[in-house]
Amino acid sequence: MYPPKFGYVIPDSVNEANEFLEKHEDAKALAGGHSLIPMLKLRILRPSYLVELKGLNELHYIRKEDGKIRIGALTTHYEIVKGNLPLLSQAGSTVADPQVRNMGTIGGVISHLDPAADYPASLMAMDAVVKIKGTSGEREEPFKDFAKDMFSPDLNPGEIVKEVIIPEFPGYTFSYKKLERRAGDYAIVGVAVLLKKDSGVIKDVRIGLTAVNNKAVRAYEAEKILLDKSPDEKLIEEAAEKAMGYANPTSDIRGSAEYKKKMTKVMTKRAILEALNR
Amino acid sequence: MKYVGKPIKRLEDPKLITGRGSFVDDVQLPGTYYVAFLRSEYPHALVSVKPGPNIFTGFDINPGKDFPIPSREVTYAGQPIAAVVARDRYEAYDLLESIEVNYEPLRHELDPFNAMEDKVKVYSKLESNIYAKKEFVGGEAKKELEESPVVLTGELHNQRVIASPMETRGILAWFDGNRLNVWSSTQSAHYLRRNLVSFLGIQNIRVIQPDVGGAFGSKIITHPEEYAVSFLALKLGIPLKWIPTRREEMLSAGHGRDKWLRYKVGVKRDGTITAIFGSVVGNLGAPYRDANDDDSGNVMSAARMLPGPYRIKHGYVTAYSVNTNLPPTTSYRGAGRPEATYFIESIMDEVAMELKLDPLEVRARNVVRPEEMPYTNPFGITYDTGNYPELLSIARSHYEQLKAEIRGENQCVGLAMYVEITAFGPWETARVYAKYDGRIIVVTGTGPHGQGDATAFAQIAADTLEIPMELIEVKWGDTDIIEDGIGTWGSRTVTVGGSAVLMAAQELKKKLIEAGAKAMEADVEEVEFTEGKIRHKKTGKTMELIEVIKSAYKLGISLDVTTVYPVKKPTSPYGVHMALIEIDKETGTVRVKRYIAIDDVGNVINPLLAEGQIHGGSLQGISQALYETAEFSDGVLQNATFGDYALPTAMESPRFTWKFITNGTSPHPTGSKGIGEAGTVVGTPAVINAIRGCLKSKFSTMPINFETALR
Repeated sequence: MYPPKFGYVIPDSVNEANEFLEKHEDAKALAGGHSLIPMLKLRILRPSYLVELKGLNELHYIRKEDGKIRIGALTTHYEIVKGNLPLLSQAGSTVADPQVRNMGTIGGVISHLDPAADYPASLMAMDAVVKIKGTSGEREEPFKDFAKDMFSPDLNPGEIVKEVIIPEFPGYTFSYKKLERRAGDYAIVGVAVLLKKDSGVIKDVRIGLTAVNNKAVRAYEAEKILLDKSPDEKLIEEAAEKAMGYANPTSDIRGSAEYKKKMTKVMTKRAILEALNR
Repeated sequence: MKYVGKPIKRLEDPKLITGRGSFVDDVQLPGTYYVAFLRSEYPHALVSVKPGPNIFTGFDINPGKDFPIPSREVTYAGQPIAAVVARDRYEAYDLLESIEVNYEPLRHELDPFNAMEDKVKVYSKLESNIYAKKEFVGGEAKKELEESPVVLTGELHNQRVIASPMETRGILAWFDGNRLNVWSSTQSAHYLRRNLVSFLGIQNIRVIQPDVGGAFGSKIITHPEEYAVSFLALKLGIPLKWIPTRREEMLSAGHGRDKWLRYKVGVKRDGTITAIFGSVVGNLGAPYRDANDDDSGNVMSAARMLPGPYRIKHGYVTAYSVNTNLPPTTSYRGAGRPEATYFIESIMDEVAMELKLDPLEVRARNVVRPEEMPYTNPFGITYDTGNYPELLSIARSHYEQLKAEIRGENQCVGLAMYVEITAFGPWETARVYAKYDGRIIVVTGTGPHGQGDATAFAQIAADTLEIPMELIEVKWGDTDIIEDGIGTWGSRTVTVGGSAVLMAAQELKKKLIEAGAKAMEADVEEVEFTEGKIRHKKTGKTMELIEVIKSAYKLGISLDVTTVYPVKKPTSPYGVHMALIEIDKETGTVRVKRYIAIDDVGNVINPLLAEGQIHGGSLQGISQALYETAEFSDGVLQNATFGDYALPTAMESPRFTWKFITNGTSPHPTGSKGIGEAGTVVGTPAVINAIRGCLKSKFSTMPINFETALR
């Protein structure tokens, strides 16, 4: 409940934030604060300083240009839900509860990398790219490489996430299916599906899974089963079965590994069906 | 009657919906210091805490003893082992980290069945881990069982859950040089005072129960921290406040249920139950006496209420209250009666399943007949009034209607019946007095903490005095404003507390008549009390209430009445609840879609508030069936946050319908019976029976999580 003592920094610019974070390796950037502050309150983290990003408006936007959607790191879940973005808006609407969605940001979610977070399934499926900014400039990394392991983003000291870039996916339909015990919980299993159909034939399909591995994965073999086919019940079942092969969950309070594996199949099937019928 | 029986809106609301309530952590005293407790990480160990400034252990608080604060031996993880005193809570929790503790872990026992063998003592000073053992015998259970054509056997576990009121415990204590002043989030100021008097050995103690954010049984007992903080306040002479974190609350308080039944039941082919035979085992957790006394009584209730509303004449049940190295259990809404009801109602549905009978029909064949009332069950509990077959026949129409709402094979309807004991004694107080300006003050010795009894008391007093409710103010929760009191628990407040209010108001009425007569220079017999006025029967001259009151003061007549209402017997409400559930057969997700409750709780003083109690209680009952359980690893609670301990949200709550009949009033002056716990008592088996019907399988434990439902 009571955080340990820490210093607090309000930078005037992203550059200043980068510089401070580089100099103080155990300092932590503060965005929406809905993962960092709970960890401070449990005293799981003991940073020397918090660097407040909230005032940095240059990190707060949704822009569509050249077939790409650029989402500033400080964009909140609520803004993403309202932004009518493919797949991501639906995933955002399942994050926690209204108060959390008013504060939590996409940059914070992917810098934190909880293995049960909602966005990563979609970001994997969409081949999202993460723009990272440090003192020596900016770099872009595919999300699949950026997410190195659970709670382990590809961020060097001084770097922060500046932007998440996703394609616009015109003509695609999508679905994010989340299994939860109660409204507001983290996912037991989350499956994101994005697909494009032409005259009944699937021309592109992407399936991302969350909460069943150390980090979100894409079920490529399951996608292959559906690609260039006219989906029927049997084919969807087969694809869902293959997706299950990508799940390597752990047993915890939310369910046994065996159950979560089975649910990967169920939720994949449901996500494919919903995407097809959308 | 003008107000009683009407859905009067709560007098308590205006202050609470404008943020003007005053809960214990809202109470401020100048120069307050804050207390925090270091808690054991082991279920059983010898512990030594390195002394330091502002660090207090059992050696300071209860030298040589291990309760309430251990001097040497800890017996559950989460037990407070040292207190720190600091300027604010941030500093207090920093200070906790600096304490050096040495643990020598000892062998522990978490399973009550193993604990009964006494191979590992959960506390070195215990003669036995069995805290209490009692046999309840009626008729010839063994013989009847042998002669029964069908015998069902089984084991049921009513799992450990955590009360989890939104406001945790908390206390502010200050010794002003003369008396100890205590504010606590408790269910009774008077009961807490008595406990502190006996622990501290001083009598000059005032206890205030401010607004309390729910309790559900978890704040009846005096907790170790309350003793410790009161002691330290006395010793240090500065105001001390203690408010635990949610995590601490879950580790150390509000644990309830955790009872097992191993049974054999004899049944005739027509579904009539002939005998019940078995043992009830309650896991009391660690040997903290305040808690053990509380919950051991609940274990005995669970055993004695096992026959339910059914005329099972032959029974033999052995009840064991057993200590283990888990956190001590205490009352949780229903306090033993939900366990009994879950056990017998599970058995009733298993009988129905075994004999391929309709669950409602099996109950109809077994319930106590109206002509048998009052009926005493084989374990000596008397059900006073009611007509069980009639309530069942009303329930049947709703049951059929609910079944007609079923859409698809994944939806099922389940039902459960209950009889309860409510309105426990030994007595309760009420004080009613009139201020010179005409204000009527009602003070109750009970301690409402959300149930809205104050509104009901105002209704009762207004009807008795034949005056508008607006003239009445209801107060409680201060040992200085009334002689004494018992408290709010056991669904007793409106009935027992209300009867005291009714009697006190009647007494005041007598005094008003006396004063009115004297003021009119008439004999008492010559005047009458009507619509709040005193009227001379012959002359027709009347005196307004305010004039009577003012005259009484001038004539030296006190208008301050206190009554003590002694209780002879508890009274028994009963009812049938039913749930329409939907199971997602692929994921195992269970949702309760509709819920219908039909209760006979005697006279309903305020149907709006009674229905509120049913919604709240039933949702807690549903939640025990589907979501809640305390999960331990090596005796350490694993789900000690609301992230992991699954309380329901609005999304998990069904649509409720509540109906009541009044066929059996209680013998109390109010004619009412308790309803505070009924929903929690019967909600759990109503849901479990619906799932059982859908899945056609037995369950030995709860909650029915997704995986259980899939198996």
